[in-house]
Amino acid sequence: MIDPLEAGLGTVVERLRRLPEPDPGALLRLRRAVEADGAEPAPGGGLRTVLSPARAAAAAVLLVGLTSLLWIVLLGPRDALPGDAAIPVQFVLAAHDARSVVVVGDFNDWNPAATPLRRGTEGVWSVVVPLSVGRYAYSFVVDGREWRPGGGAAPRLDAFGRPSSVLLVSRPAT
Amino acid sequence: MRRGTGRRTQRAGRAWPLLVAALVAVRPASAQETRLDDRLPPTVAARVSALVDSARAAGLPAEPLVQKALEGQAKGAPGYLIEAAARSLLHRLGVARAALAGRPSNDPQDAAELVVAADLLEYGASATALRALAGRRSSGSLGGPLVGFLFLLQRGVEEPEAVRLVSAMLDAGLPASAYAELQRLVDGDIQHGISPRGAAAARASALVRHGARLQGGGGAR
Repeated sequence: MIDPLEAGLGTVVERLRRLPEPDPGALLRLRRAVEADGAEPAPGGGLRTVLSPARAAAAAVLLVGLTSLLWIVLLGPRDALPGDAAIPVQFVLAAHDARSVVVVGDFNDWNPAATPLRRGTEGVWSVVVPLSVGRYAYSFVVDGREWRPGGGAAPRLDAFGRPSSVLLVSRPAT
Repeated sequence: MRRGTGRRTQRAGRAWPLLVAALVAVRPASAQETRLDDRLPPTVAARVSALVDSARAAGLPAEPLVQKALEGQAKGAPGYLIEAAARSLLHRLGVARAALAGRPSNDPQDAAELVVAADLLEYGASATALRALAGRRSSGSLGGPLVGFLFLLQRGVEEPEAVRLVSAMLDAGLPASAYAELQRLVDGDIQHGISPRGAAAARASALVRHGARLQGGGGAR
């Protein structure tokens, strides 16, 4: 008897294998062209895009936490992935003196015990969370008491008097 | 014997659709109510649940209301504020759908677009601005452009200018990644002391000019 979960995963893997080869130079070329056209080159901070070694099945993995808003865009045709396919998203926060960092948001029912970050080198904390297509509000909590939005943005307090950020995970354009 | 079996089969046949309908109707609601009941005082949970039911009845996404309530609880907000925030969000979702000329939909991408539009209204954007952007949508999701618009407002770019810039990018048919790139570049410029308005104008127009290269994938590597 075929396990339905296994069969579903097999279908997803097969569809991912059929995704077109992404053009790794396209974004770089655009960046160079725009920076040559505009003002000074942007510093290293801000949004960073990381493709996994195996293209992560054409899914983009973006570092969250250095910006308040970001997009996750899959490379491929609109029907390449089912609407509920999870996309790995990495949340990152630089907090040198922190003893603990968690991320809470619409993806984990704002549960502070659900998604702790791991401390990496130089006080950079991170965690990867698989997310489906959607819009997610989120915030970091440092040492169980300090609420921090995703980096760069001017923090804006929400209706509850605490900062939070917005993350959009979307399908590719047709 | 055969007649008895036939009656049982007939009764079962009538019962199945009712059972399936009951499961479909009850399962999502009970799951959400459980989350609210577990985390909120009973009166607040009941009031938010009523708002969730209203959203469903109107064909609006209900999950954002649940999340808004859970967010308020996690942030230590009092019950009246949680209820008010959920009620306000429900109202904004309705206004956003009218502005975007959207229809009830089960597509998560449509729901995401609607919630970002509600975020924009909360931030002070006008329904007129949303209508202006929605009117320029050619194909695909408006989510990326709307988040780009929210980003520009957050950086202090005035609404008319932000609408103009995002409209130009929409007209150029730029992919969602272009709006993410706009954010990265503008933030970099701001850190170098350039005004948000000047940075946004320069970067958006450069993206419009060079966007075709990103989409086409051709040219020198």
